[in-house]
Amino acid sequence: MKLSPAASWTFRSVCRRRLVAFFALAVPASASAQAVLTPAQLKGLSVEQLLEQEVLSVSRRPEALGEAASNLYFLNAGAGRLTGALSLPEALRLATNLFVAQSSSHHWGVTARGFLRTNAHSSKLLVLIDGRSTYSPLFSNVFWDTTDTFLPDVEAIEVMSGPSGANWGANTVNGIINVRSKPAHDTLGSLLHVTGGSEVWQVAARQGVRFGKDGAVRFYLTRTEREPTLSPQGTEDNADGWHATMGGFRADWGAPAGGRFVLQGEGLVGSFDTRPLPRAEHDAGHAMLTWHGPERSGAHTWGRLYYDYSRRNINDALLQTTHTVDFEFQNGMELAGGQRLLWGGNFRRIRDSAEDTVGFVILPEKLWYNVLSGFAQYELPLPDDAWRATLGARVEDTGLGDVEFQPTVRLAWRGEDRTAWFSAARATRTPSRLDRGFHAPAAPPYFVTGGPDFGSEELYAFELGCRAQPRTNVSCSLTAYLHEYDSLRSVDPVPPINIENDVEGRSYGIEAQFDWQIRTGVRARFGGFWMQQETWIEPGGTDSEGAMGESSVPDHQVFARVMYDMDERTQLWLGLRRIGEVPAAANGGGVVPAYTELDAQVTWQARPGLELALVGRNLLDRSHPEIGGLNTRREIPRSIYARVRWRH
Amino acid sequence: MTTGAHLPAFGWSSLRAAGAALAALLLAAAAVGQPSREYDLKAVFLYNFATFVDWPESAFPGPDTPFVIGVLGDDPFGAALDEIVAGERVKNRPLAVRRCRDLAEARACHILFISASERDRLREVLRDMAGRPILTVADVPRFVESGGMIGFSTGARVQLHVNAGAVRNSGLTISSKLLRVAVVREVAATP
Repeated sequence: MKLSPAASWTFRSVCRRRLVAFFALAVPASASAQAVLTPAQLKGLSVEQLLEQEVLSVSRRPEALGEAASNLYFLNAGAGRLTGALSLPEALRLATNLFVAQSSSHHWGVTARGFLRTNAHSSKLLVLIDGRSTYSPLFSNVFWDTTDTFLPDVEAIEVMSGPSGANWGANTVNGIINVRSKPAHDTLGSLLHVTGGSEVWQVAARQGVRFGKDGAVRFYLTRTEREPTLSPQGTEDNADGWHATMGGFRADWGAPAGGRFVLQGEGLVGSFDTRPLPRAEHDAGHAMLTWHGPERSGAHTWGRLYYDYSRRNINDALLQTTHTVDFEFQNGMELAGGQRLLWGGNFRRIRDSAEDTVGFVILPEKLWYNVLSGFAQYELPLPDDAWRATLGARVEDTGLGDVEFQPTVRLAWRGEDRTAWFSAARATRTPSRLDRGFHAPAAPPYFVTGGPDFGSEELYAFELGCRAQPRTNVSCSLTAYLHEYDSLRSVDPVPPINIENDVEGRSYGIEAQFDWQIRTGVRARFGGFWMQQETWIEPGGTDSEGAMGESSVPDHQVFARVMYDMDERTQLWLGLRRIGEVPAAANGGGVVPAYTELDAQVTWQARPGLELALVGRNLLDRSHPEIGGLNTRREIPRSIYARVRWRH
Repeated sequence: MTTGAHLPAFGWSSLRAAGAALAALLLAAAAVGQPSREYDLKAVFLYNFATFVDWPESAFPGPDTPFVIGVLGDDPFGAALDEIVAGERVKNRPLAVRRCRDLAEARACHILFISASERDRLREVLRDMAGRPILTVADVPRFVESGGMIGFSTGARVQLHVNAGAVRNSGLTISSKLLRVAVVREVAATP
């Protein structure tokens, strides 16, 4: 008689169980408080017994960051394709906790939890692409025209509002954006995107192939042409058209058991008009090697080395160049009783220069300096299994004379379908070379003499949040925060004019998001924030900007989006946004009025591998401003374009 | 370069203290090698599924075709899964573990564990696997509702959820012994 598989299995398991029982008696209790059965022992148990086993740790899974106990928003691979976004900041509008304001054809202001300058510069948000920092140490800002990536091959964009200096280092004060591209094995074959219509043209192509035993590589190229935005009066003045070409590659090889490697590189050349002044040029490039160590249970190690270069020539009145060599490593391990330790270090060598300046100078004109930091994060389950505490800290030597300590404490409670957390953290925005060395005029005698005593801006942040999935088709999150700022940047107006730390501030607010799958094929997302930002000059201090230098943010924004699968092959996406008024502290001042705009996209799968889309952006008005002072702000026009996506 | 007069409240002494704490933790880590249990348990379940589920003959092109347990995405099992299947045979075939890099490799598996790292493209993966004789398993929430076959839910213990409809449509048969201890659901196939 042939035994059924189940019966034979039970017979074998009985034998095994006896063995297990024998060894359980023979082997003395292990050093850890709870005896843990080895996989071989577990193998001997019946299914019923396996189901009775207590789970010691629910934390070893490679945590999808979306599950993390923090205010983290996750934009997935299809974000760009879904919404017709052609640049990273446009895709970032999907994150309901980010304020994104387009200031010209090629620049956007992006921030979380406030603090944006009238010129759309944000010094308190860090942006990483595959772990590479795009934050300018010279200007304390992210220049979005040189911060691009091949959007069709983005795997995920993680957006976290609030400080995380302990994990990510200085300048992660109000938030972090981390863009991850797909492994080359997931982008085999050819891809061609052709987009064209009013305001924008773009061609994007990618080719992915396998190589060697287990390797894959992709190459990509994009060319983008953006029409100028409109003058403050809403007329065509052809002032800021933008033209950019980008090419790059990513190669992945190796196996999880023996270590994996990723080699990637990219180059970008672009220019934008700044009429009536001469055209401005920018170019950037990088090469990066990442190594992921052999995967063992509960432990991981990775190391990353990159070289990054960027150069901007603004109207022949400022030539800024930055070279960065960066090495970073991280190690994570499981300790007894479900504790986890994560630690790592980062060494960065920067050489930057600001030359050919007209009317001012940044001293010293050229500088080599090193940024060195190390961090550790320790996570421990509390006696009640559902609670976990995380303690982390980073110590960073900024290379400009400061040592920063950025600690964080996080307490998380995790239930089956809900998570709640509380966190407290200190984070700092370190001085940029501009803060320290800005001198005017271009030659002595100077009447602006930089900020020799300018130190880091400080934040003490407190956050309370929860995330829940109360029903299969509903998930939501709600976060409340209080940020206390100290030593914010100020400009002493009395000669010798100096950059100092005389401003203090406070912000508080709520961020919320609600996802609802209304029925099969119809999904909706609602979200946004409400916040208050107060800044003042500390007693005895001075500031020529009246403490309002970073006040160009709205007090609320609300998004409502619907995605509707009309049939098997047709999909409609609608995104409505309402943004509160944005005050301007410079360039003529005034207030950018609150606005409501609608984006839409219809996508049609013509046949497998061929997709057509029609995209409309800012459909409700001919044009509208999003940020800037009355004299210089640009009107962002309505835009309609079509896209063909071909995959083979 | 001028030194900033504005040094943080925490100086080098706290740096030294942090270093000492780090060293202490590292020593602690070296002394303890005990793995946590969740993924060992789940790895053993995967191995057991091989005996509790029947595959159609078409799933094995040759008499020597091994029985393949695949992991798609970041592997949470570490060495546990390899350790468990090493030297084992199921239905008179050798067992093999494969870390799948893409869907093409995943299609060559008999049991496919879809890691939490693949959450965002879960539907895409399941659509691709639909109708094939591949037992899809995952521990992401609502996996079974999304069209997956066996879902683990993890609280103090592991619980099994089985999507009977999806299993049937793929031509697989699950032993009643397994069905008795699982939460069995009839979920309509994903569109």
